[in-house]
Amino acid sequence: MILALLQIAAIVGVALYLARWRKGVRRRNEQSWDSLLARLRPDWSARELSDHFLWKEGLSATPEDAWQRMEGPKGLWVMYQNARVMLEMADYAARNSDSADRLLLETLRSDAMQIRVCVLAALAQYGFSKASEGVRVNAFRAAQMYTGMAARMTQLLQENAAFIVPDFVAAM
Amino acid sequence: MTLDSALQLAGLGLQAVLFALLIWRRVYRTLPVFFCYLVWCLCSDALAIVAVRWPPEVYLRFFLVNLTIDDLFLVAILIELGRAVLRHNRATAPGRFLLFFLFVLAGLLVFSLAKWVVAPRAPMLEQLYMILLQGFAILRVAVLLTLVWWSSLKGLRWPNYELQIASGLGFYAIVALAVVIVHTHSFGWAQDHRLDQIQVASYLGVLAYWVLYFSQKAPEGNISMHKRKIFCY
Repeated sequence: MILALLQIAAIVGVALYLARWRKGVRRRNEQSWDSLLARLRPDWSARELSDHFLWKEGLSATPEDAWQRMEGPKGLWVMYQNARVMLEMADYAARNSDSADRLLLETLRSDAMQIRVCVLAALAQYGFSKASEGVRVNAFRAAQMYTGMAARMTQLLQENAAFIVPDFVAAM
Repeated sequence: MTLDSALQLAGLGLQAVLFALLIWRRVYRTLPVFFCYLVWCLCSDALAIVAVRWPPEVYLRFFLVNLTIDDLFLVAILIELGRAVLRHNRATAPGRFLLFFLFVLAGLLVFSLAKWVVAPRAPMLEQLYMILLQGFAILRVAVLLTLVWWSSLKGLRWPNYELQIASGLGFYAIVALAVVIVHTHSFGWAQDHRLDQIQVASYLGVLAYWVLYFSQKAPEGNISMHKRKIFCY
């Protein structure tokens, strides 16, 4: 009897997970460009790491400098969240434009996935060994990909809805 | 009229209404497998009304074939939904390794939740019945979880029709898995039959939900919608 109850409790857990996923997908379907912009985290910007942020890929800092300037895990977490929002922005652009570059969109999807994996790996390492060299290298890689993704996102917006670029640049 | 026959007739009625709505909404163009599944359900459920008068062994064979085709259709619908999500996002096909990895992970998770039981001394047809019942219940939820994880990982959006269909199928798959799990603990025939009725009632609930949804105005964000030209504020 106890085993049956445990199994049913686990199934209820799966059902709740699926309900939560469905709610998230519905929310995403209904969001506007303004609500997407509002979801970008303003408390830290990767401008600290690159002089050409949003326009060119690459960092103007060493791994040690980058770790200091991104304020450790705080900057990493902002990159994690903003990568997801930028992905949704790219998706929004694709949905509302017939001329969005398919290859660019795929690259943005791949960027977002890699950044999130890299950030999670760096944060997990940080949990065990604080700011070790491995953590700094992973954080540096994540930041590099983040600047690349932001530059590609700007390019996508310029090509499909240039009038929206100033708002995006301000929010980032 | 018994509760079983009332449920059966209600199912046929709801399927007929949904069939008409899918034609009206032209969903058969974008989701042909889902449409074929509904046609199959209408035919097999109508035949099942006659089949209950057949000898038990013949009925069990009919039921097993019905169950297999039904569940293969459900898996095919989930794959069709995945393709529709790809089209909607203009995304490329996912890597086979990623899909395989997610499917194995989901399969292991769901299999560990279930209690796989097949009575070794039962007649062969009954053993087969138990294997199919449990196997398909696990397969349905595993494919559904694979689809959900994959679309979340890739950050893909779902068109509204496809999301409603997936929600309905997901609800039914979870109820069916719970019923199969309780069945394997064997609390007695009366309770087992009541559980079957609950499963059928959940299917009717899903049908009613789809009927309600498809009878409303076509939602924005579907494949058939015309694209807006510029970003809208």
